Amino acid sequence: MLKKIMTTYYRNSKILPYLGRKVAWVTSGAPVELLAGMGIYSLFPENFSAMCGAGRVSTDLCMVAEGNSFSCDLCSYARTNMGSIFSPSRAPMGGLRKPDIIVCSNNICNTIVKWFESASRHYGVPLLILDTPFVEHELGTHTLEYVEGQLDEMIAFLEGFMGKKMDAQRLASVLKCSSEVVSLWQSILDACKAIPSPLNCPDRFLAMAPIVCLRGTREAQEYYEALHEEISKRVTRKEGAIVDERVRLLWDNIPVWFDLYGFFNSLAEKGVVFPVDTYTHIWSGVFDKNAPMKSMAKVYSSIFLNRGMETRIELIVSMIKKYLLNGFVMHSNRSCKSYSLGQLEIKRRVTERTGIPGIILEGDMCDSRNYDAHATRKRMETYLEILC
Amino acid sequence: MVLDEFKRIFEERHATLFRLKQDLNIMIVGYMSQFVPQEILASFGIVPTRIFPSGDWGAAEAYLQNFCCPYLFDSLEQALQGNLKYLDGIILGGTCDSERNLAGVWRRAVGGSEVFHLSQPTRTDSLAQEYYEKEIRRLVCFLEKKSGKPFSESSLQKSIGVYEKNRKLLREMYEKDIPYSVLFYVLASVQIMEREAHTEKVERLLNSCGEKRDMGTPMLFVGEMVSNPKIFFWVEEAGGHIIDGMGCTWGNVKIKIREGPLLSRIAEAYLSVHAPCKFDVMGKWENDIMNLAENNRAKGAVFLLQKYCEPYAFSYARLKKALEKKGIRTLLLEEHHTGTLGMKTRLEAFMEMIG
Repeated sequence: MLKKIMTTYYRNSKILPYLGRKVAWVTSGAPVELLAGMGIYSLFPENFSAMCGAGRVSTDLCMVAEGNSFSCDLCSYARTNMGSIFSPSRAPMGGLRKPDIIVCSNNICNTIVKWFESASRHYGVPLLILDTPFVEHELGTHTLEYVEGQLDEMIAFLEGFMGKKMDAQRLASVLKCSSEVVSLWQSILDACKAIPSPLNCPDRFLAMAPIVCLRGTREAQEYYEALHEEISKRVTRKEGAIVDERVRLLWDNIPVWFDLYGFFNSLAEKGVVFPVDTYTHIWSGVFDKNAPMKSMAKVYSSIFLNRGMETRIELIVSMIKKYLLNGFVMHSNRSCKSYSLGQLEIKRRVTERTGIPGIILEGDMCDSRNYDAHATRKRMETYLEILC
Repeated sequence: MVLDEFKRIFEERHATLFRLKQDLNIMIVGYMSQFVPQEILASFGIVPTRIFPSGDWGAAEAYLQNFCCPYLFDSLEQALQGNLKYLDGIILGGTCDSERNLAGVWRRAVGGSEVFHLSQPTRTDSLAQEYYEKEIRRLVCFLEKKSGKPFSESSLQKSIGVYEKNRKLLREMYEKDIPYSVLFYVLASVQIMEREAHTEKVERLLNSCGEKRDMGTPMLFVGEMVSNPKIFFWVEEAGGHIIDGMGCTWGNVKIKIREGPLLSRIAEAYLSVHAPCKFDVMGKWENDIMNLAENNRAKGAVFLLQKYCEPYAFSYARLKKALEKKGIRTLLLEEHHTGTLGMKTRLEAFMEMIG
């Protein structure tokens, strides 16, 4: 079902523009519901880059970007996408369809703003940004007002761009659907508290594609309803994602896409499962139908990556307790400073609070030159000896 | 000689600030981002001091991965080595992904000084200015508690006057017969010491200098921070004349605060500074750099970047192409804890290539 949904999604992105549909490139944390409310088809370069990573073509695309003066130290999602722009024949499906507009939010990182500026300049299309200031402790009223003000501006711009008013009923319907999809997704994630866990990390990383790309759509809702039903049955039957679950760990950060199954399956053979991760929990906010703009501002400002260290520590500590974990693994992802910097301290604090040991593994989400699979496996073996 | 005084203040900045604190019992608050409104700190009688890199490396590895911006890494390193003990606090912001994560690390790693996270907007338009004004008000509350003094509009107005006078004089420095290898110390030391004391020295210097003259092959330098200012001397020694595109010196000097409601005007002025870390789809900062290159007839451009700095790295890809299209050759030098002697060789070779 997932394969069919995502194949249709990408195929439609190539066909629908010929039928007059506008296409937007969007960040994973952007208010995609506003675009859906205007009938704009959204594509997610991050998801595309992840797909290139899983398909093991991302490193080549990174090198294409580097040949165009983009530093090898830049985010590998960005380099993969820029590489696919410069050399579409090397990218799956010939790369993403050219956007008519680009919409981003820096709630996941500031790098994405500069990345999307590059894309906007290349294609000569407008770029809208939802600037969500970093929330170190509490989310201030002035921050919410600023974000809400930008959402109003965004709607005004989109109305001018599309030549029509925002359909309030359609937007309300999209927001409702989006909230339902997020709630379903959260239920699926919560189900993994069961022992044995019905899902492992790679399962969730793949299953999250619709919530990233198709949030607010009927297709995503149907998919997660079906998945929720299947997972519930697995929990009832005590059917785990792996055979002989013995060790339960948390995964922090984006995965190493090109070694997704290699890494997790090698551990699954040893009875190690990952019932929870921080990445798939990013999509957790629901909207208030009585205050849609305010709740959108709150949800998009409160994304995990836009919060200070204390929030992240609390989240991991809470997950360790709720999911009954034996340890936690932090991927020090060279391509994502937003996610990775601070992990050394977070690891120490989590172990202080829980008594549970953690491990940091060095790698990269899409650039295989920054990852040593053999060394990583060896480190995990040593770590498991400590745990067991 | 007054020029030597600026150099000494910069090179002995930790000792200078320690002495200042002891002699005058004054509060000193550190910062890293050029968007921190220094006038406000000064209005409370606090000396704002920008942390400059020192080239140190070691203890910070326990807190930050090595793909962190070297400037932030270096700053934490200095704190861990005890060189920043004179600080009563530090203001960290959201200029970039690295800095926004640093506040949490700093609080835990460095005892003794309070961390205030000043959340800076990435946008710079009127909506962002309104937001930044409110964030600055939050900073004011923090400084009131820190200093034990109430906020005073008249003190702030006076402080603005001091800073505006100083910045006007600094802009005049660019029209004088002073090589950048020396001017750097004037422009860097201003971010370390009390403004009024700095102005007095600048006035003396301006009176003793001649007008700008042809000082060699025009070489544009672009970057944010530099750990070894000798780099500029090496270029001049090889026959180059440096055009200042460095954010750590040029960026601050351009601020002009208009008349009007003070905090609102400060927010507006600081967000008017063009920088690669800001949302800049129209390329204002890049246009500034191109204008600097064209107006000064640059023969070459050196990008002196902190390794892993994403905002600059994205702009570099575009600027390199744009400059080379104009016939201006480019060189990329990246700072990363490896010392700068290798850069000397590369710079000399580049200068020979430029002719």
